[in-house]
Amino acid sequence: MGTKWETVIGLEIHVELKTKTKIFCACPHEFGARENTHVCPVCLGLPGALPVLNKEVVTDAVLAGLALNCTIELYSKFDRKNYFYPDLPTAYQITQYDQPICRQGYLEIDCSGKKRQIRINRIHLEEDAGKLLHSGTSITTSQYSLVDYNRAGIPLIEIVTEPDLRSPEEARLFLEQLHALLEYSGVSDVKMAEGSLRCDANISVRPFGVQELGVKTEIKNMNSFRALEKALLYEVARQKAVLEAGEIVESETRTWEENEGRTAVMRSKGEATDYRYFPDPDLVPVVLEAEWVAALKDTLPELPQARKQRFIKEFELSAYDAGVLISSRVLAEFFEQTVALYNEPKEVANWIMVEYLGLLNAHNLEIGDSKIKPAQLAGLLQRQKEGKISGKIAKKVFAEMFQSGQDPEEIIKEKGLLQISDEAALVLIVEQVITANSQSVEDYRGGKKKALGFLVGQVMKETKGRANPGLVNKLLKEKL
Amino acid sequence: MSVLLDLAGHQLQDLLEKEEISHLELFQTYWARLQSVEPQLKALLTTMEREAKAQAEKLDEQRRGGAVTAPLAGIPLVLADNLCTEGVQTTCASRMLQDFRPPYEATLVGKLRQAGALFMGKSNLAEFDLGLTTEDSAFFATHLPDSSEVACSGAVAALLGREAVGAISNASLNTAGLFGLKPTAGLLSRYGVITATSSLKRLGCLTRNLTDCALILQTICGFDQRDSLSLKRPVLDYRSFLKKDLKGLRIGIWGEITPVLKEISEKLQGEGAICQTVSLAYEQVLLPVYQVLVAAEASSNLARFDGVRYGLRVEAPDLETLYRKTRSQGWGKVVKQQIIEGTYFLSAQQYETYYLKALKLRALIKEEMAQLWGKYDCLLTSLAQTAECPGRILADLTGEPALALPWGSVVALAPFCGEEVLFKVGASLERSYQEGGASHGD
Repeated sequence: MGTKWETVIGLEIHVELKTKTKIFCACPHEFGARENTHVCPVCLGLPGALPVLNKEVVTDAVLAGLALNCTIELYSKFDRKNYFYPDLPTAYQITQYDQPICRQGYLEIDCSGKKRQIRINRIHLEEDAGKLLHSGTSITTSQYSLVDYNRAGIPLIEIVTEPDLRSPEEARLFLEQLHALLEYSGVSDVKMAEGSLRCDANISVRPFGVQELGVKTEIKNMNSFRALEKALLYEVARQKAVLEAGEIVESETRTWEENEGRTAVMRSKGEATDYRYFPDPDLVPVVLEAEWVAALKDTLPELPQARKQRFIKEFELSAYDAGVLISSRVLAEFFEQTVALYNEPKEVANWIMVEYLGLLNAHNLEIGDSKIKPAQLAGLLQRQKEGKISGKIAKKVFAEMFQSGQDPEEIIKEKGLLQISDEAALVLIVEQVITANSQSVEDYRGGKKKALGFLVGQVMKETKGRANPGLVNKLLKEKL
Repeated sequence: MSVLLDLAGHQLQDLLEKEEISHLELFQTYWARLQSVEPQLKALLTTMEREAKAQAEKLDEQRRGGAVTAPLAGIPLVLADNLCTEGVQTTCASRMLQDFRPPYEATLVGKLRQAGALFMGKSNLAEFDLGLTTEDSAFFATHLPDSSEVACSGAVAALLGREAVGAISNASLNTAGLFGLKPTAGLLSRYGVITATSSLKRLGCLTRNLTDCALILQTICGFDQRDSLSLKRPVLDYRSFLKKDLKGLRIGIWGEITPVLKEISEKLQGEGAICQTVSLAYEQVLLPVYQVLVAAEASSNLARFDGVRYGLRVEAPDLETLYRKTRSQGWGKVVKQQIIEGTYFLSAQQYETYYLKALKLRALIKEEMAQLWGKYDCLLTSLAQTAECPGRILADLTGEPALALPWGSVVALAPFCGEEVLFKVGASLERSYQEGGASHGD
């Protein structure tokens, strides 16, 4: 078609802060606890109960703001967002409406070599609601619903970007890099699978060159980085098709249906609720001191970009390799701890990126869930270097380590995988193989180089892969 | 025995200390009286005979074992029915909370309990304290013996005539012959107090004499970490303020000067105070500002009553019907009206016209009072003949303390944490009226 379309995307990200207790009461903050066991009069909204702000929540919000280069507002306050729903115990959510705690920050992302600065409009504090479980298969047909209030009152920060993202790919990259940044800052576990990181998108298209924004739709229910990209790709195509057919895009909230691979209407934006925001009269404003904020800034740990540069410089890694290693704080630390014990950064980097990440992906695990410790990997690589095991065996041992968490020496001993480098022992086997494979011997002597490979293979078979391949090669050549 | 009913709380304490009467005897005297008048009065929604008796017996046992040091040991009190009492029905005089037994107790209740007070029962009030009289209670109206309309705490007042020494209640300051102290906002913990409003209509204590008032206040005030608006202030020896003199005290007389108010100001001048009439620039807007803020806060604070977790639930086939039926049947007319008005005031289109403006005016009112307190130490005003008392409204809007006097419906106001002035003035008048007599009428 004629028109060239530009995609415009803004993201709203909710992040659960990793505090010990909830935002307005002393209930423990713990994932996976039995239903309604971490509740009290305050987070149940019992009559007469009152909220009291958890200081750690403010600290974490400010840290997140500092990591995102925001202006920290020294004065902010809480407002009530009023609406009725069974997962909201007081029938209002305590949030920050017009005076949020952080404003105007940015996150720099790397999109195919191009550096882009994505602006953050604001970060504000709010409380989470409880969790609803509907009987049956869908909310519209269920007979009853159950409410679990463990999650009610869990502290959240909401990060709102400006509509600076220009493609679904950029949006995914932004979320991945925001994820890493927040993980590094220590304020959250940011596990999308557990709900401690949730992302909604606002997306519209407009003809290239036009300044005005097109009609946007809100997309929800994207539960992974990949889902985010897929959903947005779908939505861009959908909106383009609508506009090219001469129709207008409806302002709607749409949900991503993973199984069907499409977005579907949840509700029309026209029915927007009036939340009757007003300052919460049970709470006092949050007033920060500039010195306190400055001191907090000094406590920020090394953030992803800084660490990436350091890896490139200190360990002489490529930008790509460094980028992969710093993508998760746990991964980066694993790398560094291994290198501290076995000083071959390039080798360790390769091993992690190929073998380790390969296994993690195949089993759908995060590095934090794996049993392998840096000392164990260091030990394995050390043994490989010393020739105690071959490269092939090393990979086998590693796979075993991944399953059982055992030390490499134990596995090598148990399975008898020590490399055979004893010449005398090997000579015997080599001679056996030569005797048993006269045809191949003929072939080799006749000029077929490939036959050597076959003979090496036979020796390896006899030794169950433990023979030192280099030595086998040498001995065979000598004997033939 | 009926002599006991006439004694002040601190006098009863003396008798108990000297072991001239036992705690159980005291309890039984008061309980008997309550039983005899309550059927006509209907001042209580719940009586707490078992709990009070148990407390009395426990105290007697303690005395046998040694001294009893709890500051309010054995003093019979009544609690307004919007204070959460663990395991004991707390209804706010509303069908919405009929049979609601809180799983926790209000901080104030805990303090009183640990101080050894006997809770005789939970008193009637206007539903969620959103009306003026107990006519607005969901259950029944309380009537003084002469059948006059009784204000929320008048129910308690009636009861206090003989049946309790004091009460913790919504000091609506229509107190029919009692002292009603509403301390500075933040001195008393709000945790566990069920209110429709957050920043208005505070709790206070009602007593027959000022010494008991000071005694009770000393026991219940203090920082509570479960209330974000709680003040971190040392607990003062309020009883010591009762003896202080009034020389040079600057008193402003605000509003209509009734005969009783005139008499009072003359008595005070006799003690060395200087009285002058004052007027407030924002007098006219006090009521509308108050009404907007009360309705707005109520509309939000009452939203949690939805039939989902506690209180009344009217079973329904779907969620919205559940909400609608429960809230329609759970509230009385006055409450519903407040919720509707408050929702309107907070709605996006009206917010600036009503709520925001009310907030701004409130700030201006506070500012004016701050100026005023530079020139005066205390204000006296008479309850208007209209329904809402400007003195109480002013105290609610500023958060400053107020003391309702038992004579002529006069209210004394003081600046932030100015309870000392209130006790000084009140005590001086108490002495004067006790000696000289003169009007006790309303």
